[in-house]
Amino acid sequence: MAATATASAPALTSSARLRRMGADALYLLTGLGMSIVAFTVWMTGITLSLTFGLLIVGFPVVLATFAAFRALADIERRRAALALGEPLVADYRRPPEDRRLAARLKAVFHDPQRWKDVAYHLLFSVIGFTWGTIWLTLWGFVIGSITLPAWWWAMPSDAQYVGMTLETWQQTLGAAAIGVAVLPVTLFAQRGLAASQAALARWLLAPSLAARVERLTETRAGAVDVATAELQRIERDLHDGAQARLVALAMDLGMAEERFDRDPESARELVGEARLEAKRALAELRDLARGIRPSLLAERGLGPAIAALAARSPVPATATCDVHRRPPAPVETAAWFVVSEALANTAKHSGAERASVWVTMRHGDLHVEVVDDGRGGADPGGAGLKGLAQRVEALDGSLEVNSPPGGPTVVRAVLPCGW
Amino acid sequence: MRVVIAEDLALLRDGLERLLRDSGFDVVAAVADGDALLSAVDEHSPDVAIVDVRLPPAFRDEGVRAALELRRRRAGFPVLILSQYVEQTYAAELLADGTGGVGYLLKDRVSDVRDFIDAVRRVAGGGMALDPEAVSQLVAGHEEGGPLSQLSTRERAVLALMAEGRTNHGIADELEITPSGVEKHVASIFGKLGLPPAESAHRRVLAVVAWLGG
Repeated sequence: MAATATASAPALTSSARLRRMGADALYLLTGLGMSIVAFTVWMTGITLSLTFGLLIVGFPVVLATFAAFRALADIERRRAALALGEPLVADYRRPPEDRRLAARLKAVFHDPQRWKDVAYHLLFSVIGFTWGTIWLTLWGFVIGSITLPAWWWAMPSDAQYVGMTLETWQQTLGAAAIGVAVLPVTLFAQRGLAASQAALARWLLAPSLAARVERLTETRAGAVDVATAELQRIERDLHDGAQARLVALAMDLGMAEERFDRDPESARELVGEARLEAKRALAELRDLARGIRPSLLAERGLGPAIAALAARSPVPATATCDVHRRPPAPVETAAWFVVSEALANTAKHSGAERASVWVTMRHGDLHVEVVDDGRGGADPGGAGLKGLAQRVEALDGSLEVNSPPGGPTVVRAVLPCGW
Repeated sequence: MRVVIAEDLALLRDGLERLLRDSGFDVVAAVADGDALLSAVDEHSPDVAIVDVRLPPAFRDEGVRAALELRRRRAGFPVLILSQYVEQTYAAELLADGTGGVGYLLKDRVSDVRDFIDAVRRVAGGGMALDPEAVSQLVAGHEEGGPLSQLSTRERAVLALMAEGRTNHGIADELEITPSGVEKHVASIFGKLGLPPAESAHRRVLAVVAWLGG
């Protein structure tokens, strides 16, 4: 994994080393705080869940507990970027289409990642706290020792330093020297603490290789479904659209030919109708081709294609596209469809007044985000969003739809580019 | 001649209706699905039905199924199927009862108004009108084995044109042989396929059925 490479890279420049140290320190310090939060959450959540869980009224409590663990786990995945160089990937099962409590509860129970979230936070509440305390103690000792000459005078006369009573100022210089000597050990320990804590996160919060393979197999099947559905749609569109228009056109021309001698005026009318039919057939073929792979996307890339989508959107939309290198074509197309579908949904259902689109490249992943200020309540199990999710997952990406009643709606896709 | 049309796309339904009226047909009903077709035929007892293969609700082969149902209720009821694609299975299913009065044409053929009108009349009269495209698919599919392997190349060409619904005269013109030569080939085909002596239009259908089934 790229993260391991970063951690063990042999020749770090000094500024990179400083950044590394700062990130590790921040990781352990925030870990100390988060471990306390984790402890509180699992104490409260598990106590409440065990108390109410057996009763129907307890279902929401249990669900809320799992949701809290998941939210914490998502923070932990992002926090892991401090030690690993990049955030961890989440791999949850898709939420069930059945929104009833029991179905949701069942889905949560059957998602191994949910249980790993719980396990992680049980371990983390101890490890994060302990590691954080060790880290604080080490740095406290080092900084205290080195700066001792400066504040030795303020110490009570019988205070001890490593079992000795310091009597002269010169002796405090010795303490400072010990502090300097312990500094590399502290730095070394800090790296070890950060790395081991991050390893715990990676073990329990990131999908295992087997899970990833399983997921890819599933999504590959989903991709086949998407492709089949897409082909059916194209075939239907052709059959009912351009093909039918061409038949009608041929019929008009055939009738015109028949009438030419006896009624040239009505024959001329029919030829005019045939011409209109030909124009409509052309327009339909053009739309169909655009639906397969928009020509602007093929020719100019994501930025202009998404700007065009935003400009066409009935709800005023702004588009920001910060991508300097063209992602692989399937990724580009999927990203385009995410934006296209999300903006279409915004226009159709949300009642939003504005929408924004962000497309950015981070750590070799293409991030696509479409946000609107509408009334929310979008259904991720609906045909459009489900198809979109399958399309994205087929590329080993993830699609997240966050649309609480009352809004706002956020559609977020992450698509690995394989770089 | 009284016609019922079943076609789900209004554009083509109206076009067909206009074209048939233009050519002197009496379009007694133009409907959009199979059930409506069955009741329209019950109500109007037309001379022929022109049916699109794909009809609602699933847009698969509902037209063929409705046509088969029609012919189950009224033996030999003339049906001309229109389709954007040729599928020999459908032609075989329709002809399987051996009573004739079956047409199966690509929608494109409609633009050759005279040929199309001829085909409608032929089917209404108990004859056949298989699309040349369907016929050429059949020819391609029958290279090896089966009862048809005994036919000579010339006899197969004659049989193919019979399937399209040509008369002996038409076949003679197409193959540039004399009508009596055609008759000889036809007789030889019937003989080789072991078809019983009967009224000639009926035997022609049976010959084509044997071919489709082979």
